[in-house]
Order: sequence, then structure tokens, then C-alpha cells
Amino acid sequence: MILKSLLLKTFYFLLFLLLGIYVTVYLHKKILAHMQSRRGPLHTGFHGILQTLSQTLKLLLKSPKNFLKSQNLVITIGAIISITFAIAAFLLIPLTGEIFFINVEISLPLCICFIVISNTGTFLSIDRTGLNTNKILGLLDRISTTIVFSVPLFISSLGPVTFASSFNLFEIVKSQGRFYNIIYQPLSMIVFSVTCLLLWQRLSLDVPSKNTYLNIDYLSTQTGLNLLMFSISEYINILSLSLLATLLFFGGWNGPGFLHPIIWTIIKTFILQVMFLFLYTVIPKIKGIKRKINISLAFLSSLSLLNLLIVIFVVLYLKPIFNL
Amino acid sequence: MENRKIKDYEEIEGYDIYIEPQFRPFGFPVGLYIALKDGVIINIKPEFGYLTTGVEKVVEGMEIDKAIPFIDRVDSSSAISPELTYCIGLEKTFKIDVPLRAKFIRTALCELSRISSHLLWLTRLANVLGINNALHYCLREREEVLHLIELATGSRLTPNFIRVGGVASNLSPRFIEEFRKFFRSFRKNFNMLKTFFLENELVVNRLNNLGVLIEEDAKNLAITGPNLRALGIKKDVRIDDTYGIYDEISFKIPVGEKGDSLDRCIVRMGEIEQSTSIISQAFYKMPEGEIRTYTEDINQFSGNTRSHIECPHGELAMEISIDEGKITKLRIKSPSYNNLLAFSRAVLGESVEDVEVILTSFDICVCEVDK
Amino acid sequence: MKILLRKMVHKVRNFKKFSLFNKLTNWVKSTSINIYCFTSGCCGNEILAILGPLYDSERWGINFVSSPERADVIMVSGTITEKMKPILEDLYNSFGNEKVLIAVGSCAINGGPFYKSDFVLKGVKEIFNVDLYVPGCPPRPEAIINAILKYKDHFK
Repeated sequence: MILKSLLLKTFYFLLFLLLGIYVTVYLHKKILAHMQSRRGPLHTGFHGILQTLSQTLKLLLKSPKNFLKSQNLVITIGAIISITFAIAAFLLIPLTGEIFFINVEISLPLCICFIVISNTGTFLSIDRTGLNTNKILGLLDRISTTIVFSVPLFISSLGPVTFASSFNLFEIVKSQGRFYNIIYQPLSMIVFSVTCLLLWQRLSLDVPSKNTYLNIDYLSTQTGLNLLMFSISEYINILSLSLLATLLFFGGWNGPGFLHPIIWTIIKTFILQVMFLFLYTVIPKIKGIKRKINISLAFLSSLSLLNLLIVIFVVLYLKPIFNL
Repeated sequence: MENRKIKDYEEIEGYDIYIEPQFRPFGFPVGLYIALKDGVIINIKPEFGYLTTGVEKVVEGMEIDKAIPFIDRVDSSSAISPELTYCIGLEKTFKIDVPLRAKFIRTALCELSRISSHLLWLTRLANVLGINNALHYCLREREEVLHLIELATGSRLTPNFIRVGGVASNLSPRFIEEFRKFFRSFRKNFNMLKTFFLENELVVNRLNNLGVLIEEDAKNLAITGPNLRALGIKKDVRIDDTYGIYDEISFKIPVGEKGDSLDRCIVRMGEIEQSTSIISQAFYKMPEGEIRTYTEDINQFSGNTRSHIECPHGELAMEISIDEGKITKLRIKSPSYNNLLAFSRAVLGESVEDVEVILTSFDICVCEVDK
Repeated sequence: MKILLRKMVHKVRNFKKFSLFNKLTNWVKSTSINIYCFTSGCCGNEILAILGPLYDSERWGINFVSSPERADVIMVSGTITEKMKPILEDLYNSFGNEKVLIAVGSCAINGGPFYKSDFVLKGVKEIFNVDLYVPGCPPRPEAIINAILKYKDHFK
């Protein structure tokens, strides 16, 4: 009986995840195209709604024949690590107070850890078939991005944790019953969303023609299942990061009662994703380890530490007085 | 397959990274050998010659008028400027008078193609920096400029429009109508493009102090054009050795200060604005009349000519020898070749991630480098 | 007995022709086309133009990819010189089993204006089998899109 309900739950969650990814990929394409005064996919299905499906199937059909060749095997292991931890991170996040997969006491830090580990899966994708050394530069860039920007991501998430005095996501959302965290700690929110944006690499499934670093693409010779797994894990990660941002700073499923709580979560997540997309197309990519360290460790981390100090002061001295 | 590349590697010693030519998108086949020390570039060797067509040889033995379409293909981004160099040189030595209206039409089209070339460069810069929106807005503006060029000449990129003694055809009334429409919208749209590059803090920080070209290097390598003006040196063939109607038109020459990538960006942005004002003045002052003087004894010419004009990349010069109406020798001095050498000096001391940005900031047209 | 067998064989063949899997693969191939561009010279500028807002190539699911391994179509455009030839051969070999090659521009078709030159190959057809030719020097963006749509119609 328990097993059956667990299986059903898993099925529903994975269905939600797949549908969510499909819709976000399609909408990203369309919104991006309309931002750039284009039409986007148009002739495949109604307004190009089947374009993503056809591209996904294309990658499946194009799987390499020598799948178990040692070089490919390493990349496949990396892809599997990437997608498993991405799904694990997503399953830790509750959608509403009732709809959740699992309730762990330290769900927030665990979730962020899983996202970072899933990003490290791409480290294994070293590919020497083309002998184009530029590709390794792209890979090094990816590694430095992941390592450098995971620090401010973690520190900025500690602000809401201190305010709710719990690592549990339910408790954090419950603490925002009256006012959302964005009012108390806007600094932390800004740091969190900026790091989400910078961690997002946007692999080639969605808009390959506009891939800005065609020549420094570290997955440039990857095809088939490996590439599909990498890009899907990327999308799951951005979905779960924006879900985390809604839970931490925008009150999660709290909202006026005329709508079901899950709809509030979905609406807030969607608005955040569109914001990310808009910023992504306007600001340039940050390249070079020195610039990254300057931005992340010197600027973003110190800002979030300042925020943390303020929150600790408020919790220790002001909270008992004003009964927040 | 892999053996060739490994061999290539071993042939050139002392270089750590090889960027292959075919991996650069959209017609930019230049290979780069890079030597690194502590993450900083200490030596760079551009490998070019992948597009060598041998125009100078192909043209030999041709009649004067028949060579013009071949000379078109020297410059892929603004094909009208090599044509103009060729025709101006012949007109100067053989003393052919060009009607005033033809001069105005030439100037207007040259400036239009300068705008289109600079917009193509902006597209490339946006692509390398990773600003997707700016890329598409640049392409949209470029399409409108190309539409105007097509209305006047009949072709988008390779016009084959300028003849010895004038131009091939007159401007249609529809062209002037469309130009007025374009002129109204372009100012507004271009200001929006400017905000993407020059008012965006992240872009400005990225380009500032990146790939600084020293004045000494610039003089030794004979750099011309916007790359030299970014250093603060006010040199322009349009004013120093004026040709056409540039002495009747008032325009400014934008200059930079330090000679870094940001200055090169600012100078080219300023040139686009100046070009629009030049075109509008040219249309305002354009007289009616003939567009071409026909010379019957064009087949009996013989002699040597030299000419140079200001093309979007710099100073384009030609040396032509003619014997009884046929070309016996043609030599082209292309500015992009010097710009490529200047890039290999300016990039020293920067990190590997910035190679692409610095390379695009020099506005190199590979067709022109290899000829 | 023989007639029955023939009928059987015919049925099986027909089934293969119209089977669901075949239909699906054809649909996939015709709706998402990955193109690897091997560009040089002014044709490259025109290929850049078809990405833009005016000739938005994403409408038909046309994608430009960065490696021949991921591509269905290889699009060779511009002048191919002797120095470029070994690189192009490498790329063609690392391309998948179903090789489709489109030659864009008169330089790629037969050498174009520079057919007399010693450095220039007289067209890609000298080395490989070419499936589609797009004439013009350089061809208009509409012509390039038309060629890709011809390739797409091939699967219907």
C-alpha cells in the first residue's frame, strides 16, 4: 500500500517536472523571439508547439553507435550524475503545504548541494576528439563558474533561514505569513537571483543558432542522449532554483484564498523565470576567472554577509520587542 | 584525420593552444596559435590565407570596365569602397571629369555601406559578448540599410555600381522616399543600440582597458582608420587628401583617448552617426544632371595610377598599371592585414578568454586580408 | 503458394514504408534541421542575415550547430581554397552516415569569378557529392532558405 502510493507520487512529480520543462522550453523560445522582434518556432504544430518535442526526438535518434567506448562512457557517467542529482534536488522542494514528495529537516541546504553536484557532472565531459583546445577552455570556464558562484548562493540563502530559525523549507514559508522576505531582506534576494542567473549556462537544446560561444562550446561534439541529459538537467536546475527563490523570498504558496496554493507557486515561479530570461539576453556573459572572483567573492558574498548580520541583529533584538 | 592536426601541432613549437579556423562562425577563417605563461598570453601567431583568391592575378589582362566586378569581391562587408578606389585612380590620371550628381551619389552609397559594415561589426561584437537582444536589433537595422543599397544598385553586398567617369544608374524616386522613411526611424533605433553597448555598465567594464594598442606599435605597423583614431590621432583620408565631395560637406571625425576596445567601439558608433548626417547633407545638396561621362578612347589608355580612400576598415590603396586599356598590374594595400598584425600586438598580456573580444574589436575582414 | 508469398512480401514491404517509426523519423527530420555552416567570404554574411528578424529561420526549426557530428546538413559556402581543402575533408569525414551537402554561392558551385585562379578549387563537386546548389554571388537569403525548405520537402 505504501509502496503503491509512493510510486504514484513519484509518477505525478516526474510528470509535473517533464510538463514544466516542456512548457518552459517552449515559452522561453517564444518569449525570447518576441523580445528580439522575431516570431520564433511557427510551422511545427500550432505556433510551433511541437518544436521542442521534435528536437528532443532528434537528439534521441542521433545517439552515437559506439556508446560504450571508453571516452563516451565517462561522459555518459557525467550526464547520469548530472540528471540524477538535478531530479533529486527538485524532489526535495515542496510545491504547497500538502503537495510535497519528501519532508527532510535540512531540505534547503541539501537541495542547494544537490544542484551544485549536478552542475559538477559536466566536469567529466572532456572530449579530445576534435583536438580543438579551445573546447577545454570552455570547460574550465564552466568549472570556475560553478565553483565561484555556489558560495554567494549558499550565503544568501542563510538570511531567510536565520529569520525562520529553521533549515526546513516549510518553516521558512510559514514564517512569511504576514510579510514576504523580500520586504525584510531585499539585498539577499538580489544576490540570490543574480547568482542563479550567472549559474545558468543555457545549453544548446533551446536556441542553438544563437549560441554565443559556438567555438568555445565544451559540448560541441556531443550528440544524442548525453547532450539531452545535460541540457535537461540544466533546465531542471533553473526550474528548481527559481522555485527555491519563490519559496525563500516571495512567500511560496501564500496568497489570497481565491486560487489554489499551487497556482500561486506556479505563477510566481513563471514571473521569476521570465525576469531571468530578460536579464539573460541583455547582460553579457562574464568571462575570465579574475572578473568572476571580483564579482562573486568580493561583491556578492560580502553583500549577503552584510545582509546576514542585519538579519541576526533583527532576530536577536528587534523580533522580541515588536513580536514579528 | 587526426594525424594532420597532431602534425600541425608539432610543427609549431612553443604554442599551447590552437584555435582552428573553421570553428569561428560566419566567415571568419583565421587560425590562432597562442602561447601562454601563468594564464597570460605572451605570444600569438595568426594563421591566415584560407581565403586567398588571387584577385590581383586574375584581373591581369582584363579591360578596364570588366575588372570592376572582380575588384568588388576584395571586401565582403563594404564592396563599394574597392570599386571607388579603382575608379578614382583611373579618373585622376586620365583626367576624366565626373559629373557632380555622380559624385554625390557615390558619396551617399559609400557612407551607406560604411554604416552597414559597422553594423555587421556590431553584430559580431554582440555575438561575442553574448548579448542576444542587441545581436538581433543590429541585424534588423543592417537589413534596412542593405535594402536601401539594393534599391540603388540592384545587389545587397556586391553592387558593381561605380564606373570610370560616373555611376551605372540613376537613383529612383522610390529610393529617396524609402531613404526619408529610414532616416526618421534609424536615429531612434540607433540610440537604442547605443544603450545596449555604451550605457551598459557590464559591457563598459568588460571593454575598458582591454587590448590597448600602443601608439608606437600603431605607427610601426601603419595602422589606419578607426583603430588609429581610437588612439586619439586625427587622421582621415576624407579630410587629409580629400576626394569626391567631402570638402563641401561638414562632418566631425570622432576620436578616442586610450586605444582600448571601448574606444574603438565609441569611435565606430560615432562614425555611424556622422555617416547618417553626411548622407542627409548629400541628398539635400544633390543637383540634377548627368550621371556619367562616356570616354570613347578608354581602350587607348596607358599609364600608372595610384589612389587611396577611406574604407570602413581604414585606408584602402591601389596601384594600377594600364597598357592600351588593359590592366597589366594591380596591387592592393588592404587595411585589415595591418589590423590583424595590430591585434597580435594588442592582445599580449591579456587572458585567453578575451582573445575573441579583442579580435572582433579590430574589425578585420578576412577577404581583405587574404585577397 | 508463390503468389501468396509474394503478397506477403509486398505487405511487409508496404508496412515498412508506412510504418509508424518511419513516419515519425521523417517528421522529426523534416521539422528540426541541424545545419553545420562552413562559411567564408561574403556568403557568410548572408547566412548570418537569415538568423535575423527579417528572415527568421527559427520558424521552420532550422538550427545552426557548432559541430558536424550534431548536424544533418553541411552547408559549404564561399570560396574554397587549396589551403582550406584538408579541413573541409576532415569535417566531411566526421559528419554522420547520411551525408547531405548544400553548395551555396557560385564560388562553391564551380569556382565562381575566380575559376581561373590557381589557389581556388573549381567547386566542391570536385571532392564530394553535392545534393543541392544555390546559385548567386552571393545568393539572396530567400534563396538559401528556399534550398533548406527543398531539403525539408524531400521527407514528405
